[in-house]
Amino acid sequence: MPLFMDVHHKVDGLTAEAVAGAHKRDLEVGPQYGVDYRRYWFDEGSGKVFCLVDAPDAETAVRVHQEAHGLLADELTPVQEGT
Amino acid sequence: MAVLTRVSSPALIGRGEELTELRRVLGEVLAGGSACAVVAGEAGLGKTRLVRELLGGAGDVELLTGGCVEVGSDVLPYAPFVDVLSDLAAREGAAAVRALGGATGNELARLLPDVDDAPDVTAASTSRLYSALRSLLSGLAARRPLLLLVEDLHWSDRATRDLLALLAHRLPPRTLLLLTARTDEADEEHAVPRFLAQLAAAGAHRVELRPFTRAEQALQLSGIVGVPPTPARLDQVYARAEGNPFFAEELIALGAADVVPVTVRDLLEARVHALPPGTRRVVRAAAAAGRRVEHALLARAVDLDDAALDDALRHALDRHVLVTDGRAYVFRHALLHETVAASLLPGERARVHRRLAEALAATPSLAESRHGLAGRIAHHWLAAGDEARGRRASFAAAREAARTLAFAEALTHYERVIALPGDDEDLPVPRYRLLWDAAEVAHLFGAARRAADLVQQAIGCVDPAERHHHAYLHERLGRYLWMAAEGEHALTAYRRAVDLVPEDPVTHWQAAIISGYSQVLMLSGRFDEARAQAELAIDLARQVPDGRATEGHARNNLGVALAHLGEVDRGIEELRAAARIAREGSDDVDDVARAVVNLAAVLFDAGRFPESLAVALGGIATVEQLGLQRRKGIWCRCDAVDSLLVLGRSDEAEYLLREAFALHPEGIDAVRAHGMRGALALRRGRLDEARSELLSARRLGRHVVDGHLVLPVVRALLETLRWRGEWPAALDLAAEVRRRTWSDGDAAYLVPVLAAAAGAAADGAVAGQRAHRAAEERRWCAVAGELVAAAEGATQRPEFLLAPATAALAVARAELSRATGQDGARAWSDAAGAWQDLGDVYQAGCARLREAECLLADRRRAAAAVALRAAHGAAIAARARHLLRAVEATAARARLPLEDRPTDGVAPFGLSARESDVLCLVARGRTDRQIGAELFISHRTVERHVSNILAKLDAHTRAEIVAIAHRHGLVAPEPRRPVRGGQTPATMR
Repeated sequence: MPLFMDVHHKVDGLTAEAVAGAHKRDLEVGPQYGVDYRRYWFDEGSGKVFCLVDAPDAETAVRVHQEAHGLLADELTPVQEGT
Repeated sequence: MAVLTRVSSPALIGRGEELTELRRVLGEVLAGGSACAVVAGEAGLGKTRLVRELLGGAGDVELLTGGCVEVGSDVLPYAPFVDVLSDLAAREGAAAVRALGGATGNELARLLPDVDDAPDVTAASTSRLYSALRSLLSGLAARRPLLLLVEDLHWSDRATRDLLALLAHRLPPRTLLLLTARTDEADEEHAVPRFLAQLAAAGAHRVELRPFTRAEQALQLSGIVGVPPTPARLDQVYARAEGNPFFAEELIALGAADVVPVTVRDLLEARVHALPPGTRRVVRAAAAAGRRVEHALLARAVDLDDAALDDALRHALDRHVLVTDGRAYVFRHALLHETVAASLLPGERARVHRRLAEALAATPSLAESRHGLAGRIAHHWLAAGDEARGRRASFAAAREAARTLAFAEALTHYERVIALPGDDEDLPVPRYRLLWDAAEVAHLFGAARRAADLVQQAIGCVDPAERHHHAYLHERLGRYLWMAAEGEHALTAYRRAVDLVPEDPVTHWQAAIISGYSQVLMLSGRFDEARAQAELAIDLARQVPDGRATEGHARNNLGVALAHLGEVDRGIEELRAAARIAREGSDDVDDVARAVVNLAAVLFDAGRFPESLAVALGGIATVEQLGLQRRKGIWCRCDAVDSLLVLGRSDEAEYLLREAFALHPEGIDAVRAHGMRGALALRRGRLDEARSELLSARRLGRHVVDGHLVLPVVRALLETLRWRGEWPAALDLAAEVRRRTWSDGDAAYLVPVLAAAAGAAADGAVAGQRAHRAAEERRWCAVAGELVAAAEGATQRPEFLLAPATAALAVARAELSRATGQDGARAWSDAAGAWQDLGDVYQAGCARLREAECLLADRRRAAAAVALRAAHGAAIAARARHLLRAVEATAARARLPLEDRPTDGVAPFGLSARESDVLCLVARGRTDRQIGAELFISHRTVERHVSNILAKLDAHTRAEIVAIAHRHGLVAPEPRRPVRGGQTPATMR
């Protein structure tokens, strides 16, 4: 399955707990669409968030975010995993 | 949407600085300090939340919490103290709480569940209660750091605020008084904002909460929901809540409703509307009872079986509309309560209130506390529209409030009883007694005008056959009228009381009436009559068993009258006796304070400044102890400042004045305090400040007729204007003051005013002379002459004139000689000596400067040098900048040295400069005592100088010294260079 990295430039109200809460919802919603939000990175100061997601396609990845919490990424890029 | 598991963010958001500030203050308290802090902000900004956060990390502290409570449109008197004491009593037992209250611990019973054990209310009760509370707090703080939290100050009653102000003014070590208040609560008199401003001015820390920024609101939403909000959701909430965390919480609790509420009210109504109908009914009944309602009471107010009620309440708790602390249900936020209470339909409202009133009246134990219970019942009856029961309950509530010393609330309840139509047979007292009690409460609350109106109505309906009451009501009328600044009417009322009171047998009624009459006579300056009535009152009081307090009261009046009738020592004796009697255990703290204040005033007026100072300083401590510092603390401090200024101790005066202003002077206190600030500035030479402070005092006191208060302000203002060279303005002011009629008793204060005015006229005459305008000179000389004559005629009995006024009279005469150009050196020297004897260094210095000018005009240079040095020393001692500059200017013009050292090489015979000064005065025939007075040294020092001179001149007698001195030209004027004019210009800056 393709791998994507998305970027949220600025998430309002970003805290470690809240972003964990959002990720948890991604994990709850994801399986029914065959989407796996694998990991995420964030910076509380700037509100930037990066998510690494395994999804059939970009649209499905976005759909899971939309249903889970409504926080949509500003960029979504197909990526390959290096070693 | 699922029911939220929480409605508030677990983390505190956006209050970092505020929390740091509060923690810093708390840290200082834990380290042994004391502090008062106020958390202020609009409703819903999170005041309580911030405080909880602070308490969470406070460590090992004793936490006492109380809240102010609203009952309908009234507030519950002393509610926070009742909370605090009830909690303490529950933990430690009522007896232990009373023991912590110290000597007056029994007063705490007023605020404890066993209120019936409280002592009877007297004029002393408030201060005794304060003492007990202070002792309690000290005791608790001695165990471990104490945090007294009083919430919702915007609903506080005046009695609570007064107590808090007293406590805040002198918190025991290791105590933090923490207050929260809404700033958007409008009260008509702005009493709460004013109170908070006063606390802040007295050093309280203030933490003002502001609305969240958009970013902070986003963090809040993250915290509540557990997921960051989408930009759309955040915009929606932020646009409505505008950064108010409570509104945001409510918006979120409302859920993702399609309709976005337009106003807060809509929002809260929507929240309530979302509850099941059964729950809505219960919540509305709860709202009628108040923000907080006891479970058992709520059960009686609604028609539901236990299961249905519990079910309904469960929903209200789940939806975060109500919360519970185990004993009662509380609306989550005051705004929620207000919204629900406003949504009751008229019929429903009356029904619920009736049920609440019936339940509470039948079963008082339904109420958590018996405090304010009568007020609650009255509120419910009146809200139910039952005026007859509401009236009876209001009467009970008035008595209850008076017993807890909440006079403002008691008056509100009494006013309702009086205004409501009803049968007086319903009340346990006759109508005149109702009006009388209401009047007394109004008086104790400080509403003198209303008290007079009420007692007038009481007089209108008392049966004249009740002869003692009928007469005594007139005495009360006189007292209240006097307090309302209606002096003449007060005297009329007292005369009527004296006429009406039966004389046989002698009763305490009669003694009290006569004593009250003598007080008003004394205050009006009618000392002869006051003396006669006071003596009669003492005689009567000694014939009745319960007359001791009245005797003290009368001795107080007698003391002041005697002092002004020339018998200062006897007057002082009487005042000391009055203070002793007042302290004996008679409860009248006002009389203790009155004796202190009157004694300080009499000693001051008599020129016994060190004694007056000692009494005033003792008085500061005494009134503090009695909890009267708001009422008398400012006055006592000003008394002390008065003496300190005379004694040249202006630093201490400055300190005490700062304290006085921290107590927020109002009314006559403000007149006095600004007057003192002006007098201090004058004596230190800060003339602009002096002028503006004294003008403030004049403006504040424009309706005051008491010469004792007004005239010293005028005098200081006249002197200030003269130093600023504005003698014409000074003369205008003097003319204005003279248009008023002053009584014989005001002479002590009027003579210094006239002396200062004569000085202004002399300034005018000297200015005319310098400008060679003879007509002007003659005119101002005539004015000066007239003013001196007025000063001499200010009293019919000049022999009774007290020492400082006599010194001022000497100044007036000297000013006249200055105006007419006669030799005034002698007159000024006399005046300076008189001030010196009294210990008034500054005034003596001013007179010495004038003396030096006269001597220089006469070319008596050596003597002038001595006088100038004396003036110089005085200016330095009194730290009077303006006087110092004037002395230096005169010395420079005359080329006379001011320094106390030989200036022309080695002095003849090896005399020191000081010895030369002494020699000069010896040659002028002065005694050692006179020389000491002139040189500001003791006569023993003079003796020592004289014996040194004898040795150095190898002489054996004073006559020999004088001869040698003249032979060697040691005292002859040295005509080195002519002295121009020989007079300082009238304008001395």
